[in-house]
Amino acid sequence: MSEFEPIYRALREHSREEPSPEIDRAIRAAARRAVNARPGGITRSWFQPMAAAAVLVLGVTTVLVMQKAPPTSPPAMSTAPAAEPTAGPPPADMAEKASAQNEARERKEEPIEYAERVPIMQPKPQAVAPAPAAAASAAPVSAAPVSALPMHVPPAAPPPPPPPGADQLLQRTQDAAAKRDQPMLPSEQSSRTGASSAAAEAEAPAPRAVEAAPMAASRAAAPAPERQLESAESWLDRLRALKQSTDSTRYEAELKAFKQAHPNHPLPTDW
Amino acid sequence: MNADPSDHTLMLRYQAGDAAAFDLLYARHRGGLYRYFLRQVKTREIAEELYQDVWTKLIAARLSWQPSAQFNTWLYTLAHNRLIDHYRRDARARAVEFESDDIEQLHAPASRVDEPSVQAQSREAAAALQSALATLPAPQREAFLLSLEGGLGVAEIASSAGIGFEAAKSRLRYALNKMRLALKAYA
Repeated sequence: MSEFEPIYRALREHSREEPSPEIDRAIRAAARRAVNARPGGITRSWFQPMAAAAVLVLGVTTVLVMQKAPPTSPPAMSTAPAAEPTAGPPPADMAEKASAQNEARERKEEPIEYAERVPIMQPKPQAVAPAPAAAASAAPVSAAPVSALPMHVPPAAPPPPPPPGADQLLQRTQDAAAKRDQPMLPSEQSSRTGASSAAAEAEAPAPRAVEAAPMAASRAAAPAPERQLESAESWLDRLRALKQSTDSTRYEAELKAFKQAHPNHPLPTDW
Repeated sequence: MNADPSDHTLMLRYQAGDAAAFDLLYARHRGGLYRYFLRQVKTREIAEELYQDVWTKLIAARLSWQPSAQFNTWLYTLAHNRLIDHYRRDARARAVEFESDDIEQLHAPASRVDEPSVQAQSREAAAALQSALATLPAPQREAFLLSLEGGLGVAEIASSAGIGFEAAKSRLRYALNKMRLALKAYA
C-alpha cells in the first residue's frame, strides 16, 4: 500500500481531533478503579482466613465427636491365649512335655494344624462358626477358646453315634468345638461336601482329642510364638484390671478360664 | 527497562495490575480510536460516547484478553462491535451496510462537509479529505479508517470487522482509490 502513503500522510496531518480531557480522566480513573478493586484480589483476601477457620472448626468438631463417642470395647475376656511365658514349668511337667513333643513329631502335620487352629484373639466367642471352607484353611476354626477344649472332650470309649441331623444341630448351635470333637460316621462323611469333609478330616479324631488337654498344657509350657506369649501376658493384664475393678464375678470367671488355659503359668502371689 | 514497550507488554502489565501501563496504552491509542468513531458517526457527542464505551469494555474484559491476540486487533474489534450496535439501535443509521458484503450496492453516507467539525478545519486540503472520506460507503470507510487510524493490515481488518480477507482487501482498495481520486480532483 505504499502507493497510498501520501493519502495517509495528508490525512494524518490534518486529523488532529482528540477526545476531551474529561473523557481521558474518566477512562483512566475507571482503569485504576478496576485494578484496585480486582475481584480476584478480594477473593484471595478472604480465602485463606476462611480456609483456616474451616479447618480449625472441622478439627475441633472431630475431636469433640471422638471424645463423646463410647470407647471401643476391649476384646472379649474369653480370648484364649495359647501360650505362656517361657518361665520354667514344674519339674513334674517336664516328662509330660517331652512325651507330648515326641507325639507331636509323630503326627507331623497335625500339631501344626492344631497350633494354627488355636485362636489367638477371638473378639466374640459366640460368633457364628466359620464356613466349612474357612474351617479347612489355616484360620481359626472354632470360636471357643482353648480352655473350652478339655470340657468338650468326649470319653475315650467309642463314641455313640450322632443323633440324626447332627450337622444341622451343630450348625444351629454353632458349637464348633463340639463339632470338631464329634466323630462322624462314614456315611455322614460322604454326605458332606468336599470342603466340609476336608475340614472334618483336619480335625483331630476323638481318641486323640483326649490327649489334647495335656498336649495343650505341655505345649503351653513349651517355647511358644511370641504373639502367643504376648497374648497370655495381655490376658494377665486384663485380669489385673478386673481385679482392681469392682466386678469380682467377672474377675473370678476370667481367672478360672485363665487357669484352665494356662495351668502352669505362674500367677501373682496375691491372687 | 525498555523505553518503548509494545502494546502486548503493556497489556500484560495492566492485566497484572499495573495501572501505569494502561496509561501508556491509552495515550498510544486514544487519538486513533477517537477519530475512528468521529469519522463514522454524525456528531462528536456520539463519537465520545462510543469511544468511552469501548475503553470501559476493554477495562472490564482485560482479564479475558489472550496474549496470542494483537492488542490493536482486539481494540478495534471492540470498536467495530460497538459501532454496529450503535447503528442497529439508531433507526436513522444504516447498519445493514455493515452486514452486506456486496460493496457495490452500498450507499454512501450523507456528506458531512457542512458539519462544524469539518468546517473548523483550517486548511482546504483537510476539508477535502474529510469530505472525500465522508462520501465513502460505510464498509469502505471503516476499512480505510481501520488502516489509517488503527494501523491494521488487511488480515487484522478482516478479523476486526468480521469479514473475509478478500472482502477486507477489496474494501480497502476501493476506499483508497476513491480517496486518491478525490485528492486529485481537489488538487
